[in-house]
Amino acid sequence: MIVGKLKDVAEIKDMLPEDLESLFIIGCGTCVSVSLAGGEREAKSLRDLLELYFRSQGRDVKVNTATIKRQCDDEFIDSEELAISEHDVVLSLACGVGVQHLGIKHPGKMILPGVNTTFYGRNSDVGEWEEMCLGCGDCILDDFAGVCPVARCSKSLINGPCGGSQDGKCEVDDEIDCGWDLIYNRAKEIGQLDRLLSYEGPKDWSTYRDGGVRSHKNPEFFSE
Amino acid sequence: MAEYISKLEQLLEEGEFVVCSEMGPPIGADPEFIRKKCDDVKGYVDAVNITDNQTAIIRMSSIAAARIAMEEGLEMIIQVTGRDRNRIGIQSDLLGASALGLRNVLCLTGDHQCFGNDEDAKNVFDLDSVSIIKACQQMTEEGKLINGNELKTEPPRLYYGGAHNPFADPFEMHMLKLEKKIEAGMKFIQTQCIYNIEKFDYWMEEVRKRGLHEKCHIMAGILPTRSVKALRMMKKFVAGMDVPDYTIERMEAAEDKKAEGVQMAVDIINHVKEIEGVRGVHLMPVAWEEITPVVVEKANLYPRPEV
Amino acid sequence: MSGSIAHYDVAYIGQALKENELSQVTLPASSLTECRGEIGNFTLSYQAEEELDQIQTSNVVINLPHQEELPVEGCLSLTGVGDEFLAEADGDKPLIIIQDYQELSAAALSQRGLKLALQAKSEDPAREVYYFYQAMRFMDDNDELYEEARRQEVIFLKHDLGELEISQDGEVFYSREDIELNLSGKLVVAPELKPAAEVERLARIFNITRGPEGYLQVDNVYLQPTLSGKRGLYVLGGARGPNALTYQQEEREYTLQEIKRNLIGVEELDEEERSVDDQKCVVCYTCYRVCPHGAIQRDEELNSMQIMPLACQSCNLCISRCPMGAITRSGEIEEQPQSDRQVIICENSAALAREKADSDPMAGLEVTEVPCVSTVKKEHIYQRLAGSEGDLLILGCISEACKHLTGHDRCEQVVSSAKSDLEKLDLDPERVNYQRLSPRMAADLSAYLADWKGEVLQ
Repeated sequence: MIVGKLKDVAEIKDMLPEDLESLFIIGCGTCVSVSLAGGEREAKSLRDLLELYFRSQGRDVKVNTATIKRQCDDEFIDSEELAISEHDVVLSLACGVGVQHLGIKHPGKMILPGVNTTFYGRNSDVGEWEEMCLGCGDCILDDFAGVCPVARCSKSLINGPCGGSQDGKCEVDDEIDCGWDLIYNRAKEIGQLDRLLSYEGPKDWSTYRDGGVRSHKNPEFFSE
Repeated sequence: MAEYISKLEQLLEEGEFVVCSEMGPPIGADPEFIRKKCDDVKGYVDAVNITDNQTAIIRMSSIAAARIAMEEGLEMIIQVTGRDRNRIGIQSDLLGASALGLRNVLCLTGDHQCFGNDEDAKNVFDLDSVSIIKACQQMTEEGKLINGNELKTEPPRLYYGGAHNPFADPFEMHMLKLEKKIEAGMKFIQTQCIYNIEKFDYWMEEVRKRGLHEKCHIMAGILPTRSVKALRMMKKFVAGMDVPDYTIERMEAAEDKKAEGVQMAVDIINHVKEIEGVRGVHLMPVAWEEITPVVVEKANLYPRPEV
Repeated sequence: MSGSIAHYDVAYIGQALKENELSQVTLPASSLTECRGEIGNFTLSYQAEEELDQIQTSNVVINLPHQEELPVEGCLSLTGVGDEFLAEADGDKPLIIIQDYQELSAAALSQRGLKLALQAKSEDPAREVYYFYQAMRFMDDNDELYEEARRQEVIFLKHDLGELEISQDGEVFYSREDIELNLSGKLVVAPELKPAAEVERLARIFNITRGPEGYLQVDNVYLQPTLSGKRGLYVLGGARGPNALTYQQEEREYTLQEIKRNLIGVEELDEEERSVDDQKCVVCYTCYRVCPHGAIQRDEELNSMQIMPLACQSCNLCISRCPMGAITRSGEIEEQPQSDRQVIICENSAALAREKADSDPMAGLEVTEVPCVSTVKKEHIYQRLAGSEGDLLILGCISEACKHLTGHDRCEQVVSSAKSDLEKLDLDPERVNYQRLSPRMAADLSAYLADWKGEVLQ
């Protein structure tokens, strides 16, 4: 799932134009809700906090909010068309996808990002997420005992570990598990160590953004 | 009669106990900096490593610095890491290095940029140490690039090796990496600096069990230090360093710390000389490069053989 | 699976308690796969011989033995020593009893040790009996047993860290001050008690939080003696805690009594209706995970969470933390605070402390009583501050006396987050504060409020 983190409220405040008269905060009810970053709860409490702030500044700014199911699909955004048009600025709490989609639908409106989209991650504990996937476009999990060297190793090493891996922890930060340690242990457990031994050439990065900004079409919806 | 690619190869292949040392290029563009350092070690070592933005701190490039030192008459080993350049840049650099007459390459994955002053940088790691070694092997022996295309003119002449940390755990996992590098064609290894003799002995035993010492020339890393503080810093902050307490205690107890540091290095050299499979030493006196001749002499490794 | 599911008064996970009046079933912990439903109507799925099967039960009791860790393999555990033990040969060898070796032993183990020592002496007064201890733990008549054991010339030796060592072959080395002993004989050791096997799985299946040592009951007055936090689910023995050996009889009796009372009838704990809007619910499982009472489960048809009304204990923590605001309660009203001095108090501590105080320490303040301070939503904090020029004080409960176990902590997390955000916008973070009280702290409450009022008045 796409995981995000609500931006520092001071950073959000600094993004807002000085002559702001009305602000519409749009929350998103999918990924950022599940990752507890930008759902209705965050949208409403941010609204109340900003109202408190503007009042303390003696400014009369209207702040309204709505939360839609997703901001990456047209139909949900359409339901807020009127509300968006009635406000100077829109602050979207969706991931980077949603913020931009809103911008595509409303090119004349300033759409600001209220959430830092961080990574594709799993929920490891209530309130905690960890990065699992980088969306490289060419999944090689079968070659690495189900642990991704691209996303779980801080250097994305195809032939790991590096010399800085010590006692299962990464040289960058000892809170980070060494991805290669995980790969190695998993390979041992499922009997795939010899697969690790065979030489792995450098990765083909052309399926990642390195090959150009990506898009794709499902063939069942498009004819030749 | 075998034709050797480099003097280093010749010495190793002919069974000499090799002495290498290391030089850090300047944080600046002054070639004199290198030339001065050359004076310190000339005649006392067989070959000199020149680091490549080590610990992600920006310095003059390894190839440029190596060329300057080579002109002073030293046998040089350039270092190439995967952190800063992609496969295009690395292969290009290797061709250039060979064209400049540089013959020895140490292929490294590279420290993460968080250790340096440019934490904001994007890291590359398109190639890791195994892939860099493989790239050298393919270029040198097959005249081919990683993408399979053939080189159009003369292939490079490179003698390529890598580094290894005998103290990293879990042991088996790091052995796997070592075996992969040797499989890819690595000719020589310089190890992480040794303070924990027992652990090094154990590693060498495991290396010999797997016959790896016959596939690859191993040089033991030695880092002469001169202060308790330096030892403590390495123990605490450097990833993969094993500095036992008895080493620190020995330095603490010493009156003349510098002399003790030299003696400690010499003791380790004398120990590793006797280990089957160790084919030389690699001295890395961080911020104390001038001590290299002293250590070499005290370890009875002077003069160096002529080839 | 057959058409109808058997319904029992109580299902035991582990060992059943002897009670003829109740219809019961016993399931091994390892076979259990799922628990749905609430008190009066739990549905337990378990792995039967060939297939998955289900039973229904009004109550559940988890009664499992502790796991034990002994310092040396092969030495005897104090809990495992039966009557035949002393009758075996080796009567000429000294009997060595050791407690407090790896950790301070429970009083009940101490009692066993003393009784064993006395038994040995009564069978053969000439036999040497050594008793090593760090601290004597007294319960019931332990002190009498101790006195008697001394009279019988049991050799009591106190040991501290490093003074006692048991070798791998069961030899005992003792060195303290001027005494040095090297003993071998019949060795019996009080084991280190560990949580029962399967507690992690059971906690997951029943959705209750384990304590820091891994037991199914946390250290909280509202859970004593055998409550789990989930209505209708009781925990005994090695599932409950390290001190579960002391009052076993009383705990069993209490549990059976509770079960019988439940069977007469269980009512919802408050009048409010709580519902989850299935159109908003994203099944993030946050409410399920934070609920201290295991009162939430997923409705498989609607694919939305549902709050079980009998299981719910009204803390409103789920409502406060739902990222989509999908949970609502009928009692929630629009707040219109008027005064500058607002206090939100937990009905379980500050409200009681207030009553105990000599004169009402909250006179003149605008007070809102809540079933748990985790009821307070982050947006409420900002709304209340916006609605007045003054301050907001939230008074929750101390950890061991928080009726909703984690509610006090959860509220603090929200208040900290709000304070941090206020500060980032150059708004005064001191406008909102959080304190924990116990119900007894009437004097402290008065003093604290006097201070707070004083500041606010300035």
